[in-house]
Amino acid sequence: MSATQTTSEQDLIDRARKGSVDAFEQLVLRYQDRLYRFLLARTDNRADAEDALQEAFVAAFRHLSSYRSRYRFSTWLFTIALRQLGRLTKRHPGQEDLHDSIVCENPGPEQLGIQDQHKYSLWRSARDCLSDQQFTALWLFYVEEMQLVEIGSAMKRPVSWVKVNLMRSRRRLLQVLQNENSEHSTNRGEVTL
Amino acid sequence: MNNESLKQALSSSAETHVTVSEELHQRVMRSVRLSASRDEAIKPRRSLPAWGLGMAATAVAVFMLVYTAPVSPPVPDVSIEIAAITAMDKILASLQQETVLPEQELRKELERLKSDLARFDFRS
Repeated sequence: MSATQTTSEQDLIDRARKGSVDAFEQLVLRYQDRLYRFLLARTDNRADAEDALQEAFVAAFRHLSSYRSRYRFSTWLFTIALRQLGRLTKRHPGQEDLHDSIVCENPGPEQLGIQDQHKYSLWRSARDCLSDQQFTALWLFYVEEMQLVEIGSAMKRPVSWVKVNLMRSRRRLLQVLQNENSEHSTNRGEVTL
Repeated sequence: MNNESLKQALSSSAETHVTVSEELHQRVMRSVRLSASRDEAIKPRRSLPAWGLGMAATAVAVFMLVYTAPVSPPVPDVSIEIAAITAMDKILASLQQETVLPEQELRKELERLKSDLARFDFRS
Protein backbone atom coordinates (compact mmCIF):
# COMPACT_ATOMS: atom_id res chain seq x y z
CA MET A 1 0.00 0.00 0.00
CA SER A 2 1.49 3.36 -0.98
CA ALA A 3 1.94 6.26 1.43
CA THR A 4 -0.55 8.41 -0.52
CA GLN A 5 -3.20 5.73 -0.32
CA THR A 6 -2.59 5.27 3.42
CA THR A 7 -2.81 9.01 4.01
CA SER A 8 -5.98 9.38 2.03
CA GLU A 9 -7.43 6.35 3.77
CA GLN A 10 -6.61 7.90 7.14
CA ASP A 11 -8.19 11.12 5.91
CA LEU A 12 -11.35 9.22 4.91
CA ILE A 13 -11.42 7.49 8.30
CA ASP A 14 -11.07 10.84 10.11
CA ARG A 15 -13.88 12.37 8.07
CA ALA A 16 -16.11 9.33 8.56
CA ARG A 17 -15.44 9.52 12.31
CA LYS A 18 -16.84 13.03 12.26
CA GLY A 19 -20.00 11.62 10.70
CA SER A 20 -19.34 11.92 6.97
CA VAL A 21 -21.28 9.11 5.29
CA ASP A 22 -19.76 10.08 1.91
CA ALA A 23 -16.25 9.48 3.23
CA PHE A 24 -17.36 6.18 4.67
CA GLU A 25 -18.85 5.22 1.31
CA GLN A 26 -15.39 5.62 -0.23
CA LEU A 27 -14.06 3.17 2.35
CA VAL A 28 -16.93 0.78 1.60
CA LEU A 29 -16.12 0.94 -2.12
CA ARG A 30 -12.51 0.09 -1.37
CA TYR A 31 -13.18 -2.94 0.77
CA GLN A 32 -16.62 -4.29 -0.08
CA ASP A 33 -15.44 -6.76 -2.76
CA ARG A 34 -12.72 -8.25 -0.58
CA LEU A 35 -15.02 -8.59 2.38
CA TYR A 36 -17.85 -10.02 0.29
CA ARG A 37 -15.60 -12.63 -1.34
CA PHE A 38 -14.48 -13.83 2.03
CA LEU A 39 -17.99 -13.91 3.50
CA LEU A 40 -19.37 -15.73 0.46
CA ALA A 41 -16.59 -18.29 0.56
CA ARG A 42 -17.05 -18.83 4.30
CA THR A 43 -20.85 -19.09 4.33
CA ASP A 44 -21.32 -20.48 0.81
CA ASN A 45 -24.69 -18.78 0.99
CA ARG A 46 -25.35 -15.55 -0.88
CA ALA A 47 -28.10 -14.26 1.42
CA ASP A 48 -26.02 -14.83 4.55
CA ALA A 49 -22.95 -13.26 2.97
CA GLU A 50 -24.96 -10.18 1.95
CA ASP A 51 -26.50 -9.85 5.42
CA ALA A 52 -23.11 -10.23 7.08
CA LEU A 53 -21.58 -7.66 4.73
CA GLN A 54 -24.31 -5.15 5.44
CA GLU A 55 -24.16 -5.66 9.21
CA ALA A 56 -20.35 -5.54 9.19
CA PHE A 57 -20.27 -2.15 7.47
CA VAL A 58 -23.01 -0.73 9.71
CA ALA A 59 -21.09 -1.93 12.78
CA ALA A 60 -17.86 -0.50 11.36
CA PHE A 61 -19.47 2.90 10.84
CA ARG A 62 -20.97 2.95 14.32
CA HIS A 63 -17.77 1.90 16.05
CA LEU A 64 -15.31 3.78 13.88
CA SER A 65 -14.12 5.74 16.91
CA SER A 66 -12.71 2.53 18.40
CA TYR A 67 -10.44 1.88 15.39
CA ARG A 68 -6.75 2.31 16.19
CA SER A 69 -4.20 2.54 13.39
CA ARG A 70 -2.01 -0.12 15.03
CA TYR A 71 -3.29 -2.59 12.44
CA ARG A 72 -4.49 -2.00 8.90
CA PHE A 73 -8.05 -0.84 8.39
CA SER A 74 -8.75 -4.02 6.40
CA THR A 75 -7.71 -6.16 9.40
CA TRP A 76 -10.14 -4.24 11.60
CA LEU A 77 -12.92 -4.71 9.02
CA PHE A 78 -12.27 -8.44 8.80
CA THR A 79 -12.39 -8.68 12.61
CA ILE A 80 -15.84 -7.09 12.56
CA ALA A 81 -16.96 -9.28 9.65
CA LEU A 82 -15.88 -12.41 11.53
CA ARG A 83 -17.90 -11.30 14.55
CA GLN A 84 -20.96 -10.72 12.37
CA LEU A 85 -20.45 -14.12 10.82
CA GLY A 86 -20.39 -15.69 14.28
CA ARG A 87 -23.68 -13.99 15.16
CA LEU A 88 -25.22 -15.12 11.90
CA THR A 89 -24.17 -18.73 12.50
CA LYS A 90 -25.77 -18.61 15.94
CA ARG A 91 -28.97 -17.22 14.41
CA HIS A 92 -29.23 -19.82 11.61
CA PRO A 93 -27.52 -23.01 12.77
CA GLY A 94 -27.33 -25.84 10.23
CA GLN A 95 -28.64 -23.82 7.31
CA GLU A 96 -28.60 -25.48 3.91
CA ASP A 97 -25.86 -24.01 1.77
CA LEU A 98 -25.84 -22.82 -1.83
CA HIS A 99 -23.84 -25.78 -3.05
CA ASP A 100 -26.30 -28.31 -1.67
CA SER A 101 -29.27 -26.39 -3.01
CA ILE A 102 -28.07 -26.46 -6.63
CA VAL A 103 -27.40 -30.19 -6.77
CA CYS A 104 -30.29 -31.95 -8.53
CA GLU A 105 -31.01 -35.50 -9.59
CA ASN A 106 -31.28 -34.92 -13.33
CA PRO A 107 -28.94 -32.03 -14.06
CA GLY A 108 -28.93 -30.17 -17.35
CA PRO A 109 -25.71 -28.98 -19.00
CA GLU A 110 -25.80 -25.67 -17.10
CA GLN A 111 -26.22 -27.37 -13.72
CA LEU A 112 -23.53 -29.87 -14.63
CA GLY A 113 -21.21 -26.97 -15.30
CA ILE A 114 -21.98 -25.38 -11.94
CA GLN A 115 -21.54 -28.69 -10.13
CA ASP A 116 -18.30 -29.35 -11.94
CA GLN A 117 -17.02 -25.90 -11.10
CA HIS A 118 -17.91 -26.44 -7.46
CA LYS A 119 -16.44 -29.91 -7.43
CA TYR A 120 -13.03 -28.76 -8.60
CA SER A 121 -12.93 -25.41 -6.88
CA LEU A 122 -10.02 -25.36 -4.51
CA TRP A 123 -11.79 -23.24 -1.94
CA ARG A 124 -14.75 -25.57 -2.16
CA SER A 125 -12.45 -28.43 -1.19
CA ALA A 126 -10.96 -26.31 1.56
CA ARG A 127 -14.40 -25.57 2.95
CA ASP A 128 -15.25 -29.25 2.92
CA CYS A 129 -12.12 -30.57 4.58
CA LEU A 130 -11.13 -27.76 6.96
CA SER A 131 -12.76 -26.28 10.04
CA ASP A 132 -14.24 -22.76 9.79
CA GLN A 133 -11.32 -21.35 11.74
CA GLN A 134 -8.73 -23.06 9.55
CA PHE A 135 -10.55 -21.93 6.42
CA THR A 136 -10.57 -18.34 7.69
CA ALA A 137 -6.86 -18.43 8.52
CA LEU A 138 -6.08 -19.88 5.09
CA TRP A 139 -8.16 -17.24 3.28
CA LEU A 140 -6.68 -14.34 5.22
CA PHE A 141 -3.18 -15.64 4.54
CA TYR A 142 -3.42 -16.49 0.84
CA VAL A 143 -6.09 -14.14 -0.50
CA GLU A 144 -5.79 -11.16 1.84
CA GLU A 145 -2.05 -11.66 2.25
CA MET A 146 -2.28 -10.72 5.90
CA GLN A 147 0.65 -11.23 8.23
CA LEU A 148 0.42 -13.89 10.93
CA VAL A 149 0.08 -11.21 13.62
CA GLU A 150 -2.79 -9.58 11.75
CA ILE A 151 -4.56 -12.90 11.28
CA GLY A 152 -4.13 -13.59 14.99
CA SER A 153 -5.56 -10.18 15.80
CA ALA A 154 -8.55 -10.60 13.49
CA MET A 155 -9.32 -14.09 14.76
CA LYS A 156 -8.48 -13.36 18.40
CA ARG A 157 -5.94 -16.17 18.40
CA PRO A 158 -2.24 -16.31 19.28
CA VAL A 159 0.26 -16.28 16.42
CA SER A 160 1.41 -19.79 17.32
CA TRP A 161 -2.15 -21.05 16.77
CA VAL A 162 -2.25 -19.36 13.35
CA LYS A 163 1.09 -20.90 12.34
CA VAL A 164 0.14 -24.40 13.41
CA ASN A 165 -3.29 -24.27 11.80
CA LEU A 166 -1.99 -22.86 8.53
CA MET A 167 0.49 -25.68 8.36
CA ARG A 168 -2.18 -28.29 9.15
CA SER A 169 -4.60 -26.75 6.63
CA ARG A 170 -2.00 -26.77 3.87
CA ARG A 171 -1.08 -30.35 4.59
CA ARG A 172 -4.71 -31.47 4.72
CA LEU A 173 -5.63 -29.61 1.54
CA LEU A 174 -2.66 -31.00 -0.38
CA GLN A 175 -3.62 -34.48 0.74
CA VAL A 176 -7.25 -34.00 -0.39
CA LEU A 177 -6.16 -32.54 -3.71
CA GLN A 178 -3.78 -35.40 -4.39
CA ASN A 179 -6.60 -37.86 -3.71
CA GLU A 180 -8.97 -35.90 -5.95
CA ASN A 181 -6.40 -35.73 -8.74
CA SER A 182 -5.70 -39.45 -8.60
CA GLU A 183 -9.47 -40.18 -8.67
CA HIS A 184 -9.90 -37.78 -11.58
CA SER A 185 -7.08 -39.34 -13.60
CA THR A 186 -8.39 -42.86 -12.88
CA ASN A 187 -11.85 -41.82 -14.13
CA ARG A 188 -10.35 -40.30 -17.28
CA GLY A 189 -8.38 -43.51 -17.81
CA GLU A 190 -11.58 -45.54 -17.70
CA VAL A 191 -13.22 -43.28 -20.28
CA THR A 192 -10.20 -43.57 -22.61
CA LEU A 193 -10.17 -47.31 -22.32
CA MET B 1 1.07 -30.18 -6.10
CA ASN B 2 3.50 -28.36 -3.84
CA ASN B 3 3.06 -25.36 -1.52
CA GLU B 4 3.88 -22.79 -4.19
CA SER B 5 1.39 -24.13 -6.71
CA LEU B 6 -1.18 -24.41 -3.91
CA LYS B 7 -0.64 -20.75 -3.10
CA GLN B 8 -1.00 -19.85 -6.76
CA ALA B 9 -4.17 -21.90 -7.12
CA LEU B 10 -5.75 -20.52 -3.94
CA SER B 11 -5.13 -16.89 -4.79
CA SER B 12 -6.33 -17.20 -8.39
CA SER B 13 -9.44 -19.27 -7.68
CA ALA B 14 -12.84 -18.17 -9.03
CA GLU B 15 -14.03 -17.26 -5.52
CA THR B 16 -11.40 -14.55 -5.32
CA HIS B 17 -12.89 -12.66 -8.29
CA VAL B 18 -16.46 -12.17 -7.06
CA THR B 19 -17.60 -8.53 -6.96
CA VAL B 20 -20.35 -6.70 -5.11
CA SER B 21 -23.29 -5.67 -7.27
CA GLU B 22 -24.46 -2.06 -7.39
CA GLU B 23 -27.72 -3.16 -5.79
CA LEU B 24 -25.93 -4.71 -2.80
CA HIS B 25 -23.71 -1.66 -2.43
CA GLN B 26 -26.78 0.59 -2.34
CA ARG B 27 -28.39 -1.69 0.22
CA VAL B 28 -25.30 -1.50 2.43
CA MET B 29 -25.13 2.29 2.15
CA ARG B 30 -28.85 2.65 2.88
CA SER B 31 -28.34 0.74 6.14
CA VAL B 32 -25.32 2.85 7.02
CA ARG B 33 -27.25 6.10 6.38
CA LEU B 34 -30.17 4.81 8.43
CA SER B 35 -27.85 3.92 11.28
CA ALA B 36 -26.15 7.34 11.04
CA SER B 37 -29.46 9.21 11.22
CA ARG B 38 -30.63 7.02 14.14
CA ASP B 39 -27.40 7.73 16.04
CA GLU B 40 -27.78 11.45 15.32
CA ALA B 41 -31.30 11.41 16.75
CA ILE B 42 -30.20 9.59 19.90
CA LYS B 43 -27.20 11.88 20.52
CA PRO B 44 -28.09 14.53 23.19
CA ARG B 45 -28.05 18.10 21.90
CA ARG B 46 -25.68 20.54 23.62
CA SER B 47 -27.81 23.24 25.18
CA LEU B 48 -25.02 25.15 26.95
CA PRO B 49 -22.78 27.47 24.93
CA ALA B 50 -19.02 27.24 25.33
CA TRP B 51 -18.78 30.28 27.61
CA GLY B 52 -21.49 28.79 29.83
CA LEU B 53 -19.49 25.62 30.18
CA GLY B 54 -16.45 27.70 31.10
CA MET B 55 -18.36 29.55 33.80
CA ALA B 56 -19.76 26.34 35.20
CA ALA B 57 -16.26 24.86 35.34
CA THR B 58 -14.97 27.94 37.19
CA ALA B 59 -17.83 27.77 39.68
CA VAL B 60 -17.12 24.12 40.37
CA ALA B 61 -13.41 24.87 40.79
CA VAL B 62 -14.15 27.67 43.32
CA PHE B 63 -16.56 25.43 45.22
CA MET B 64 -13.99 22.66 45.37
CA LEU B 65 -11.32 25.07 46.58
CA VAL B 66 -13.50 26.52 49.35
CA TYR B 67 -15.36 23.49 50.61
CA THR B 68 -13.01 20.69 49.98
CA ALA B 69 -9.68 22.24 51.05
CA PRO B 70 -7.34 19.57 52.36
CA VAL B 71 -7.26 19.21 56.16
CA SER B 72 -3.69 19.27 57.43
CA PRO B 73 -2.78 18.09 60.98
CA PRO B 74 -1.87 20.95 63.41
CA VAL B 75 1.81 21.62 63.73
CA PRO B 76 2.80 21.10 67.39
CA ASP B 77 4.39 24.17 69.06
CA VAL B 78 7.37 22.78 71.01
CA SER B 79 7.96 25.88 73.15
CA ILE B 80 4.36 25.80 74.46
CA GLU B 81 4.68 22.13 75.34
CA ILE B 82 7.97 22.71 77.23
CA ALA B 83 6.42 25.59 79.21
CA ALA B 84 3.42 23.40 80.17
CA ILE B 85 5.69 20.59 81.30
CA THR B 86 7.75 23.01 83.45
CA ALA B 87 4.59 24.43 85.07
CA MET B 88 3.29 20.93 85.83
CA ASP B 89 6.63 20.02 87.35
CA LYS B 90 6.44 23.00 89.69
CA ILE B 91 2.90 22.14 90.74
CA LEU B 92 3.89 18.55 91.45
CA ALA B 93 6.85 19.69 93.54
CA SER B 94 4.67 22.03 95.63
CA LEU B 95 2.09 19.28 96.14
CA GLN B 96 4.79 16.96 97.30
CA GLN B 97 5.97 19.54 99.85
CA GLU B 98 2.43 20.12 101.10
CA THR B 99 1.76 16.42 101.63
CA VAL B 100 4.76 15.96 103.89
CA LEU B 101 3.05 16.53 107.24
CA PRO B 102 4.65 16.11 110.65
CA GLU B 103 3.72 12.95 112.56
CA GLN B 104 2.00 14.86 115.37
CA GLU B 105 -0.29 16.59 112.95
CA LEU B 106 -1.21 13.23 111.47
CA ARG B 107 -1.95 11.76 114.91
CA LYS B 108 -4.16 14.74 115.79
CA GLU B 109 -6.04 14.28 112.57
CA LEU B 110 -6.43 10.57 113.30
CA GLU B 111 -7.83 11.26 116.75
CA ARG B 112 -10.27 13.75 115.35
CA LEU B 113 -11.49 11.24 112.83
CA LYS B 114 -11.87 8.60 115.55
CA SER B 115 -13.98 10.88 117.75
CA ASP B 116 -16.12 11.78 114.73
CA LEU B 117 -16.60 8.10 114.05
CA ALA B 118 -17.56 7.38 117.66
CA ARG B 119 -20.14 10.13 117.59
CA PHE B 120 -21.62 8.87 114.42
CA ASP B 121 -24.74 6.84 115.13
CA PHE B 122 -25.25 4.06 112.60
CA ARG B 123 -28.82 3.38 113.74
CA SER B 124 -29.92 6.93 113.03
